[in-house]
Amino acid sequence: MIRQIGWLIVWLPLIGFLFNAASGLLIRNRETQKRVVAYVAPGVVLLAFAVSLAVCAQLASLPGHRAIVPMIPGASPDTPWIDIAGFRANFALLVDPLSVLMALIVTGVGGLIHVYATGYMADDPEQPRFFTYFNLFIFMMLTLVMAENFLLMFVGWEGVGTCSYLLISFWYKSVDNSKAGNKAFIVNRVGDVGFALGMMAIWSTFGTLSFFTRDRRGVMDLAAQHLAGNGQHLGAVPAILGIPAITAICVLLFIGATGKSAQIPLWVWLPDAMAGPTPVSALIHAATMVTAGVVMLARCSWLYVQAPAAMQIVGWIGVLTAFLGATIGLVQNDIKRVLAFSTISQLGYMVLACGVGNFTAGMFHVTTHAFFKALLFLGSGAVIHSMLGEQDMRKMGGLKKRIASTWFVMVVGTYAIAGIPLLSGFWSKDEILDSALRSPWGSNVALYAIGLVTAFMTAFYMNRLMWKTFDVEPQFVDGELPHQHQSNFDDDEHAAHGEHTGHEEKTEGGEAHEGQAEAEGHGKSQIHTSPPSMMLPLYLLAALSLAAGAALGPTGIFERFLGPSIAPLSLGRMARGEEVFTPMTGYVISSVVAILGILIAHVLYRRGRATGHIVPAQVESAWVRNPRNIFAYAYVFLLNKWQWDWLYNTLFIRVGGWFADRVLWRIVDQDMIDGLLVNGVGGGVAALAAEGRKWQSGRVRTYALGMLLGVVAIVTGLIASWSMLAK
Amino acid sequence: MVPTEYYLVLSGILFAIGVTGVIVKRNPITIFMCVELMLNAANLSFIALGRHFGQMNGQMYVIFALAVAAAEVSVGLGIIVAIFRTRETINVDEINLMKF
Repeated sequence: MIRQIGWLIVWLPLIGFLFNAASGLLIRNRETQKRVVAYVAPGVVLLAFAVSLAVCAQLASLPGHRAIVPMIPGASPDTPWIDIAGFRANFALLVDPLSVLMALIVTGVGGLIHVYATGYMADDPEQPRFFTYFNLFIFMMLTLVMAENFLLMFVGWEGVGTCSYLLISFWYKSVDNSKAGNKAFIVNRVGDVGFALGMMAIWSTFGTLSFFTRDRRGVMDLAAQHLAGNGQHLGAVPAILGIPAITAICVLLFIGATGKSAQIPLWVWLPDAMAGPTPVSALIHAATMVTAGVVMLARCSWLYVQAPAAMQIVGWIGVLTAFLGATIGLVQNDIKRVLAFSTISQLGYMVLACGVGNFTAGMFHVTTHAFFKALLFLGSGAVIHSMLGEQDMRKMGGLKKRIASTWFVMVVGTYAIAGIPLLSGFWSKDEILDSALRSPWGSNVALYAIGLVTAFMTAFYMNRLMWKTFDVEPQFVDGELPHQHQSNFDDDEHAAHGEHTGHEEKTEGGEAHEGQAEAEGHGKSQIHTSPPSMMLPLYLLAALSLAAGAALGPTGIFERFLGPSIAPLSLGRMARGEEVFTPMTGYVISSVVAILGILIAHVLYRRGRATGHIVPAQVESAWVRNPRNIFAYAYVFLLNKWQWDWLYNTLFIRVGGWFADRVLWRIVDQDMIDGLLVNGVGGGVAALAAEGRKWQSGRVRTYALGMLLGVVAIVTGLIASWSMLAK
Repeated sequence: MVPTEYYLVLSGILFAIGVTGVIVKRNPITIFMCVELMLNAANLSFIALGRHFGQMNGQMYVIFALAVAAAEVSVGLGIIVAIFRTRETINVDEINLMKF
């Protein structure tokens, strides 16, 4: 059964992608095309979700909870994709708890975001292009999580990167957007080098790239038996540059994960990625793609548990990223940027969980985070939509009464991420903190303390966001909001278009753009609620954020479900540390920390209610201009993202640019390649010819002499060689 | 009977004189005469060697060479006349249009 329908999961979004891409050719009328696309794009993803559910239901009946499914319907699972000179990669999907879990998240949360996007992008003239990329992204993400081998995973890995680039710079008319897209793409390439090198190291060590095979010769099969492909014990495998091969592999793969999952030092692309439309931020840069690194760590848990050194690197990078993201999130003013930094911070938690060997907790946080972060992003999208495209929280406020339903779902998301007891984020975050405290390789108190401080800051900055957006006095004049919805078409065109669709939706009976018509006239309220297509996913995600954690976590369902995919710590002869305090004490500590963060935010912002600032705006701008005291300095330091962008600018743009300009261009390219090789050869021939043509004097007698000398030389040579032969 | 070496030496001397003439002379008529001298030097060695080996081939080639030389001289003299008509000189050193 699974073998018959498994391929559908990846094929459905691919079909959706192909249809949407061709929809402009098939349907001449733009409005009809947009309406059809708005059904097809979410439809294929939700169908894929249904198939994933069916597969999930059958998972338990499989031997070892694992099956290998051909990607091409009807083919053998061993159908080779590449088969050259002993190198072999199959064209197949791996169905096991981990891949099915991710397929459910990607198609489920992704499907909801698709539905939301039909409302959010309804006014954009390029909506079909948007959904084309969106479906392609789902296809690539499913390829990534369900691939049977590293190479196919890499295809998905690069594919989601491409879609991310395409969608970040979706509104390509703005140079900033295309720069942000480039930044994401280039920074990810750095990580991909690590992933590619890791794959090569795996190939040379294990002789295969498959995760699991039916004859138990896959990388993870061999790792589970402590064997490398040539039958050697893993401890005895040749070292790579003096590092044990298994550690080198794990570190290289983790470099790939730092790129995709926005960890130190490659996190810099994620905040800028918020330039894309908000559904993109929700789908790609919060709920799914950025978790690819964590999924890969969990998939390779069989390798990581045998490389404690690599696990330490993973754990420390994770916890430091969590801390860094949270500190920067404290001071950002753009509503989406706050969420971007909270994503970085939460990804840090997931990576930390993997680093301390609790891959299940990492994946659990991936799951709950997908719910509440998608909810928060979509909620912020609804806010931005209501504010006609305004993203700066300093110009918001007072929206609680205007868009109460949006406020309600955002509160659920905020409390979930902050870790209020019994909500989703609480269970997964507590599980991670507990694992950090019982780290198998020490440093447990430091990891736990940093994690706890981060949790406190998370609670604070999320409530800061809520206060600034919903609760403080309005910081804008209603009726005078500039229309800022982005599009690739200029304002007149856009306005005309918006009016058009607004009219159509009304005839359909939706109160969708009730405010749209009002917005035309000054003095009336411009703040309008979002259409039902945008609110429905929000309610569903809010329900999941409320209940999913409690349903899956403390009941142990999640752990039992994912168990067969995750390597036990004992495989690496490691064990979790002693319990420092009982689970209940842990719950109490993290609850207190979360509530404390929320309370402090409440107290501070209640005081600054009128302006929406804790610190008066004049003081704040004075700080930015001239940081004198320690608070001012810290504020500017955080506002500038710990100066990472400045560091990279100096190191790579300035120094690298100087090197490229002065050395590579002027010396290597201009002087050596152009000067010495290209022009050198040409010039040499020309100089030779300038001498040689003097021989063409026009004097027949000279030519005759030349001929004579030539004949004499040839005859002499012939005679000499004859006499040589004669001897 | 005169030994074959004598003929060959004489042929070599005639050939060398012909070459020298071709190289040093400026008048194409003289050059032609020198070329003829070279050809006949070759003819002489053909005949001498033909006699030496008791074969007819040498004499056959000489007839060929004479016929070709006659045709060549007629063409060559035609060219010289044509050059003289256009340039009013036949000094080979002045006929250097093809010079760089």
